[in-house]
Amino acid sequence: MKKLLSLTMVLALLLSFGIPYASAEEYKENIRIGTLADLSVACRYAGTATVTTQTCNSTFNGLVNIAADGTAAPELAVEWAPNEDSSEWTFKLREGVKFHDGSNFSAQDVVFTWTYALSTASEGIKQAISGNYLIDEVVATDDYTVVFKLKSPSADWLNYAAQDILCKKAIEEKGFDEGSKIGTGPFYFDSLKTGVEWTIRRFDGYWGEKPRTESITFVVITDASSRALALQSGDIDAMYDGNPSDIVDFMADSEHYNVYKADNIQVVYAGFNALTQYGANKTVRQAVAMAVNREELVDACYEGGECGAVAFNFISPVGVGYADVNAYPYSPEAARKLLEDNGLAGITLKLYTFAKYIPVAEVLQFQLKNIGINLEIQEWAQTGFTAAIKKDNGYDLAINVTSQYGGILTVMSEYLKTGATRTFMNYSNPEFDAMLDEALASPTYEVMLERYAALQQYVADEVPGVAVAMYNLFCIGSKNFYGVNLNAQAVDVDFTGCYVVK
Amino acid sequence: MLKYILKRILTIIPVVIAVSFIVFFIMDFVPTDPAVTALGDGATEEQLNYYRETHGLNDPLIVRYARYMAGIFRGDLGTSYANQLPVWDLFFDKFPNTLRLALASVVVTVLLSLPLGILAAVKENTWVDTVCSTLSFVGLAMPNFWLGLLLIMLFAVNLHWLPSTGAAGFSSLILPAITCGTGNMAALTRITRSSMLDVLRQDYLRTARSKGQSERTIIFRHAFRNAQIPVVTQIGIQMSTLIGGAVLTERVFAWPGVGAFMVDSIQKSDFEVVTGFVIMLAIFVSLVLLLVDVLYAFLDPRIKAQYSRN
Amino acid sequence: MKKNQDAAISVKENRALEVWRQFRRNKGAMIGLALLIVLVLVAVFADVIWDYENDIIQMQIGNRLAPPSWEHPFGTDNYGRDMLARIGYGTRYSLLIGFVSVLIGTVIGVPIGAISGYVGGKVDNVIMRIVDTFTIIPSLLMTIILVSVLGTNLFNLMIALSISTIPVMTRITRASVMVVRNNDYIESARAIGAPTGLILLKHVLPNCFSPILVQATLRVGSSIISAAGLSYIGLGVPLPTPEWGALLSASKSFIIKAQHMCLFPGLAIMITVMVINLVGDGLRGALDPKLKR
Repeated sequence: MKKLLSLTMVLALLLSFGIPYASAEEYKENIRIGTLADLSVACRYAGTATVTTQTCNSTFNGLVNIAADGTAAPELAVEWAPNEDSSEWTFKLREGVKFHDGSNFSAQDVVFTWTYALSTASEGIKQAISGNYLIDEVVATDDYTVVFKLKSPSADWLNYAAQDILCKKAIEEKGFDEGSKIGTGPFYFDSLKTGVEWTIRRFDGYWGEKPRTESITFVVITDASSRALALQSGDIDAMYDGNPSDIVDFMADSEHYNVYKADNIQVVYAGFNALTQYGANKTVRQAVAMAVNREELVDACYEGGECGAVAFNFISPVGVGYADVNAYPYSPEAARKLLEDNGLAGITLKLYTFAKYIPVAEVLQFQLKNIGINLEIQEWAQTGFTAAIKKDNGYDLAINVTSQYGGILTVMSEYLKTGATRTFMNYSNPEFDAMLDEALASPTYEVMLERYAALQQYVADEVPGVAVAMYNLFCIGSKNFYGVNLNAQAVDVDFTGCYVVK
Repeated sequence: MLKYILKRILTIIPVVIAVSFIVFFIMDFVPTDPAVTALGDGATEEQLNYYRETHGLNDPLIVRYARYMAGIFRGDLGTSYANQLPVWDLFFDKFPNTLRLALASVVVTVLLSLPLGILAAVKENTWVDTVCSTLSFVGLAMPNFWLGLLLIMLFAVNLHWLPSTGAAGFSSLILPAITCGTGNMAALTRITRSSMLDVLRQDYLRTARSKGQSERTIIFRHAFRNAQIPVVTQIGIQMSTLIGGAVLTERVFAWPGVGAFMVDSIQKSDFEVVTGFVIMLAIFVSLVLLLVDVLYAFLDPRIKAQYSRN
Repeated sequence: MKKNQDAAISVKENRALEVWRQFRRNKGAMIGLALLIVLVLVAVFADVIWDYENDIIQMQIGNRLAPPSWEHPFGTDNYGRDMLARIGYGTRYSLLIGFVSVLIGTVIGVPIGAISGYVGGKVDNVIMRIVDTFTIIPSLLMTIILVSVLGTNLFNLMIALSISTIPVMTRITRASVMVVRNNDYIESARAIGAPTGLILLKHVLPNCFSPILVQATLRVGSSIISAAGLSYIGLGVPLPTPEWGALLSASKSFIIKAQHMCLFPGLAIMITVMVINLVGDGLRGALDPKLKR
């Protein structure tokens, strides 16, 4: 009898341990992430909004994947090699990959992407694929091999090869609006409720490691304080970005929150409009550069360095090829004198910016007043800002942030070269252009880095704009939230790997 | 009666035309370019010009207006430049939220004002009266977006009882509704009070009192019923203001209503959205006012007779 | 002749005294008036009390977001600036915007209303339809559109705000004029052939003075609130003007961390508007013979 009893007890004990293992689903099926804006497009070539980028990080693949340290890992390509002078790159593609709509991935899709998204003339393309001006021809030598023939050598072509590959079949059959959502990524785009939320769902046919979470819902909470409140009340599992003042509080409460912080590839800068009288005047630019007290600015706007850091260079320290520069030091007296000596004391500059950088603008306004420059701030809604910049030259300065695709090449070519399209600076300096072309034509990567370093110093001397700060990327989650990838190289935040432990 | 209603509905048409012209005309001067809104950052000057040509943005104002109105009468409210969606869809996506908020606010106002007004009237010239009047004063003087912020601070931040934004479910409706509702308290309290006072002094109440009916019955049956007309008027005015004007509250609570969306569209120079929304709002406001007038007819047979005569 | 003039003057004086006496009896109105005078003094002498450079815009990052204390009774903002000084200095903007926008609205609206009420007929119809149309467009939206068009500065803000006051003043003038128009002495003035303008100016409008004044006073409060609202969404005064709505806008990002930034500017608006409304209400009571106790 005793034996039977003890046996029963042991069995019961074993069972009680066994049952949880049998139903081992330790991860929450659906995660809710609070984000800062509504999603208008689900394809990176149709829009550059942060939320688009965040979504596409999970729904698309590139040929390669660039890790945080700049090295390339295979994604849709398994092998690759440049020719001798890096003017031709050959990629061997992965076989057996499926798109979200079931169609097979092949070299045709790569060729299609690099032809269709090459210019904004194609329907639906609002942001052409980066590096498009380097492309001479893209050829599929067979179903799984692609050769990129470039107009000039590019030692860092892999950075461009990391961009999303679109589905040729989907776009041709269903049109760009519908077809551009289809990718090969671990999640597929499921649903969208305008202004409220959108959901991506785990793709069962994914070629790689399946994510732990079944679906991710991005909840639109534009107001940063409300997002923090939603996180505090448990409405969302994690939030992206927020008010620096709230973030430091989350950081202090490590018992309840996991704060993920990373350096950003984006740099906040105050750029001059080279087409206006003062924007073209190097003395004015130098004076402004010397009037900026970056420490004070970061203290005021980014919680004393907790949420950001000073920046002297348009390129972020995270950017590949970053080199330290000697920027104009903070010296308001010298700045004031410089202006007075040149009869420029008491001038008025007009500045355009939008809500996110108003604090930066306010501090700048105060610091410029110190050296006798009167700064008038005009605030716009973000889309209004884009339009206002294009419309006329009513601004001498504008504050914005460099692109998330902020490698040196992007910044130099698409911000500072003559005819640059990504910015409002209208900067046109033949000497700079020549230096840049020379750097691009470098025979080796080391030479390229050297020339890039010289270029960065040149920019710091010429000050077409004043780089002021780099604000950190943040994702703050509940204490059971893990797996977010704040890889600036992956372009903003990658939520693919996140999960919440139940 | 029916003829009266039909006539009123017909007068909406000239109102729509007038309103739309004014808005269209003024929006023309907003200094942003719809082509840029539509094509975005990367567009070149060529593409912008092409867009302007194909969408007739370079035509003179009158031509554009005529084209637009022609579309309206076909039932086509135009398309948003910012996100290429039809204005009609956008409006009916957001309008239910605005309507919900407006109705909830009216409920809040009525629930607060009627008791306060009645109390103030019954206890005329006592300290109760002064307190009630002061309360309604306060409501009038408080900027409603500040009240919204205060409510968020108290109930969302400090107490964590209610959410601060969004439109999901009933709990997120509470704070915005209180915000809008309290601001309108003053007028309704005052009207209720003075209506009640007027009627409390009437002769027929004296008669009812002498007949021995209880004080409470007198108040609630006779006086209340006669205060209905001005109260209904006030509610009508409040509804019509809230339908288009709750912009600030919507901003504070990120309530996805018509007002906040319109402000965004104004700043993007998305004037098809703005004009389309204003037209729809004008129609709904006119309908609300018509509804109020019809209600009068049901509440007071003398008014019904007046309508039929006209 | 002089005796009649004297008599006429002293009738006016008596009337004014009479109104004042009525006004004085209203305790609320008197408190309101006293506070209003204080506010006006603060607004006028703001530059004397505080130094714009040092108190209002000087950033002291080391002392950001300080809660209320003896040194800073209303705390400091996110740049370390003293909230009391900023709020106090902001009085001048709110009062200026409120009064001027209503003044503009009255100066434009009253003549229109007078003409509409007096002439009647088709002219009245047309004018009222136009006014109705503007009334149907929600006033805040109208103001926002106007500010977006004109640009954001103090003057444009006042113009844009006056647009929503004009219909109100027009309506109230028209209503009063319509009542007075049929009075006997107006009839007789018309009969002897007095020009319309003269009749309007000397006989009709003075009798509408009371409702216009009361309405105008009440509109000041709503103008102040609207101005604050516009600044809140960034369409009001330019930075770094310490206008109360702008201060509330800045407090948005700190609603969790520094609630004092939101509390005090809003209180300032509320108290100012209440004070003005009390005075307006007192005026209404004093000027309206029906409400004599």
